[in-house]
Amino acid sequence: MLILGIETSCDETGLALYDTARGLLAHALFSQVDVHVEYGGVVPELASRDHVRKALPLLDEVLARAGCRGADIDGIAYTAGPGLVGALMVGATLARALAWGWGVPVLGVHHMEGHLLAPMLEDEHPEFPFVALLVSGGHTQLVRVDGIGRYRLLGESLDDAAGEAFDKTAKMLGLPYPGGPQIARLAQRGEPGRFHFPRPMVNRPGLDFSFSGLKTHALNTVEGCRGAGELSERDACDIACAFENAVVATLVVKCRRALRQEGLDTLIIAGGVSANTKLRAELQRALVKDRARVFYPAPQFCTDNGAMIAYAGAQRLLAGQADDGDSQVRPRWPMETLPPLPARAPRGRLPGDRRV
Amino acid sequence: MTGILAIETATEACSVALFRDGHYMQRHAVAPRRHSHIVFAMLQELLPSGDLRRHGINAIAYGCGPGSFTGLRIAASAVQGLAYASGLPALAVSTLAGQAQTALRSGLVDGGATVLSVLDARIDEIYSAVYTFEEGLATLRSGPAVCAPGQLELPADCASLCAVGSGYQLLAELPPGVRTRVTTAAAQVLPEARDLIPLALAQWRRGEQQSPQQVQPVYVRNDVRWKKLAEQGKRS
Repeated sequence: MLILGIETSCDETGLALYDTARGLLAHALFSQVDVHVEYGGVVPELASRDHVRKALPLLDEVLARAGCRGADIDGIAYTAGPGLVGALMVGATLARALAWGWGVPVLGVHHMEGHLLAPMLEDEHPEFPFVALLVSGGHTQLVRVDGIGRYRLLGESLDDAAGEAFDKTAKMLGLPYPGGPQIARLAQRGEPGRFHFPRPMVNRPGLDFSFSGLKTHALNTVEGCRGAGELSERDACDIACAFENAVVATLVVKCRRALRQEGLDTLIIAGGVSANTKLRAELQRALVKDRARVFYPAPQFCTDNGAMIAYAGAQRLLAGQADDGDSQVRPRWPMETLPPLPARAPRGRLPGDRRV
Repeated sequence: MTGILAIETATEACSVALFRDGHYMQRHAVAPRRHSHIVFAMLQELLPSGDLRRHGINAIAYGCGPGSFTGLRIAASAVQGLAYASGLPALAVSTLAGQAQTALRSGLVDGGATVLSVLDARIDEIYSAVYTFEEGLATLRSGPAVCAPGQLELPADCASLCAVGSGYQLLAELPPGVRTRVTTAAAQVLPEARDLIPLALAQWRRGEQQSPQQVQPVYVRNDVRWKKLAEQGKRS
């Protein structure tokens, strides 16, 4: 079964072809970062305009790379939410129109379910049940995953998402959007002991997060260093280092706590922030001690992409789910409301699949 | 005989029309913010899903704008997908021309009129274009443009115009020299997909076809009024 995945929930246009027997055949991505960098963040109208421009050229690209024709496609999955409504609408409308013309089923997929299942695209992938840390510019959530559609929210950010805190702190330091990679780059040259940032909510029970206080602390530190003059590069590096350490330490504490609480030994992390090398290293170090394992998506599937949507959609389409005539995009969409798949639903993946 | 499917979603009205064997069929509804949903329901009522060529369709026409940004993208994305999947060309028709054509078919203007087709562009501006009819087809004289009503300029040779469309309510603010030239008005007109079809057929005959990849909204307003970093924190 050949599934086309379309992701347009924010500022990346991603398309992919996933074959339930052969694995991922092709994926293509257009990142709009260069468009939004001038504005210091995503401009929703510009994002929507770019999706309309880029989606079909990317479709041509994935079909050519996979050596397939459009008529070979058996089903289409698109991101139906959560995300920017205008951006979601572009992918949803294109997906429904293609499905109409090809006479195949179409299904709206939950963006975070896509992220959550992205590690399943890897040769070495986790088995259910596991704890997932979804950490991006829009989300910071810990979720217990017992199977596809069997999700229980364990904790989430009460204010800013971790990635958002990275972006905002980067902006304070005069770094371009998106901030995560920029902060990580500076942090490598920072002196760890010079500033100490609080570890929000680690001393409180529970698995919720809060990152807005950390952001305020960063602002006060930046202003303190700046005094009357400009922020020195040294100051910027040291602040980036202290900030990154605080976010990473907080995430690590909560992940270990979640695994202990649930009595599980498998963690997956997904979402843009999961590409952060410090977070990966620290989690690895901590979980070895706990005799637990951590899985990640390949770096290109940490951020938004079509492959994860094709994979998640394929699982649900295989199980017979599809949109009915009433389907609409859902800018807000709690993941726990997704219908579970039967425990023995086909996973549709064989060893030795073709890699991209 | 040419078969055309047409989609118009640029305003609060949403419509899908089919022209086949010389007959028109249309579904039309005024349904703000529900276009993405009902456009497929309308399509379903007019045609079974699957390759449109098998149902006698040769090209897909769409109202390319100007109009609601989201509405324009719904039509463009739907036409991209339908045209791509069926291997059909597309025909981009101005929404303002379609609206002038709707006014003509509805008898609100006559075939000798010069039409000022206007749409409310929000933030106290209008989209506008001027058309006359040649052999019953709206033919562009000036525009399309987006501006505050007070800034509207008309071709000097248009002595009297009929204003049609939702932008009419803002025409009280027209410059006096322009307002006196607007003789009759029909504010209640909304563009309908079936009125894109005569214009699309003419474009088809002239070979003005688009590939699916060329299907794009014509926003007219290209300044999205979002401050770049260098402008942020400054008073506007």
